Amino acid sequence: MEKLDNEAQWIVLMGFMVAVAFFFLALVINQSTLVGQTTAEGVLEFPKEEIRDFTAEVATLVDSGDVYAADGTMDEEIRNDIVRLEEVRNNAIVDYSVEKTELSGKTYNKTVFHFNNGVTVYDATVYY
Amino acid sequence: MKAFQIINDDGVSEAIGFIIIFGLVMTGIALITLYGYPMLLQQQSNADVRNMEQTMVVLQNDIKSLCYKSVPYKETSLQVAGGVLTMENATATGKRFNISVIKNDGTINTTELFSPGAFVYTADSQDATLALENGAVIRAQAGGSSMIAEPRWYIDTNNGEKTFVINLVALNASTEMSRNGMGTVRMKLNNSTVSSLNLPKETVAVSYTSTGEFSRAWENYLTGTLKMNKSGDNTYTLGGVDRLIVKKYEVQVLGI
Repeated sequence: MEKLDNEAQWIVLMGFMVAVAFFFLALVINQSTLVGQTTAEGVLEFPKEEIRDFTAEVATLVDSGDVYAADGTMDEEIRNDIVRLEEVRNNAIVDYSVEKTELSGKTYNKTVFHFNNGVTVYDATVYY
Repeated sequence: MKAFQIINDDGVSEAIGFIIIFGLVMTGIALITLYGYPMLLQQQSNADVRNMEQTMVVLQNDIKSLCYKSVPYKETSLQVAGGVLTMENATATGKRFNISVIKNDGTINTTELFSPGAFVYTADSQDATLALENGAVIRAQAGGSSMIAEPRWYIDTNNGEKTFVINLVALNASTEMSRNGMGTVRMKLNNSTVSSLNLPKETVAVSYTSTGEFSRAWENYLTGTLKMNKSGDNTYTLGGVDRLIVKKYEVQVLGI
């Protein structure tokens, strides 16, 4: 009787393992489109430029001194204009307040920013 | 060694062997046809609906770009498989959203009656409807619906002042459209209007009336994410609002 030749059984086993590996790979690739989409959205969503525009505008007003009214308090008219413009153009709720503050013998303009566009909420306190 | 072994192959027949192997193969094919193929079709149709969910989110992002990022025109190529994508005009969906202000003395001030219009995908071989309505992606099945992607409504609280921002997106087209297969959705922003109301700590009521199947999704969104209170059928209220901003966008769908 001939000897049973089972030397190559591992080839069948490897074939089976490769098939299982492909199956898992397919599952992972399937998930990755979802992950990629969400990550891309996250990056697009962060309104860096909008926040910069807003803070830069207020900073310019602070530098020129226009942010204060004649009586030394914050100019409400300019503030309302900026709030309205951000509402209409950037679809964001913004607010700021400025007051003069003494810090180690020097006078700074303490500026508090608030920005919210429904996705990102940004709050900051800056001393100019 | 070999000399001592008895080789007993009296019962071995090539014909019987063939019949047994052939029978096994046929049984295998029959099982696959009976169970495997329908399962494959089911998987295919599931994949179609899942693809469409993603496509709806992409379309929602397009609408976000048009509305919130001042992009004037957007177009997206998409493949609609296993169902039909229909574009329902704002006039066809009816006035579904009613936003009103309940003043502290109890009088009701209606500020907005709004028809959203919608993209609706209906799957052929399973019970699933996907809709892009008023900036939200909703999946509906028999007896319920859930929101896959939420619209951008939000409440901002700053310095003790509560601002409620409601973004309403209407889809408009010259005719009703539908698509099966490859297509390109082309959209542009027609116009947008803002109304801003200063209210002294008053109540804002939003009601969603629809014969369709999306009310559960809107209910969960309004009571869950926005923490509004349900008061009566399809009416949700939010108290202590100082400012109400309602932005209305009209998106023109040029073709799908």
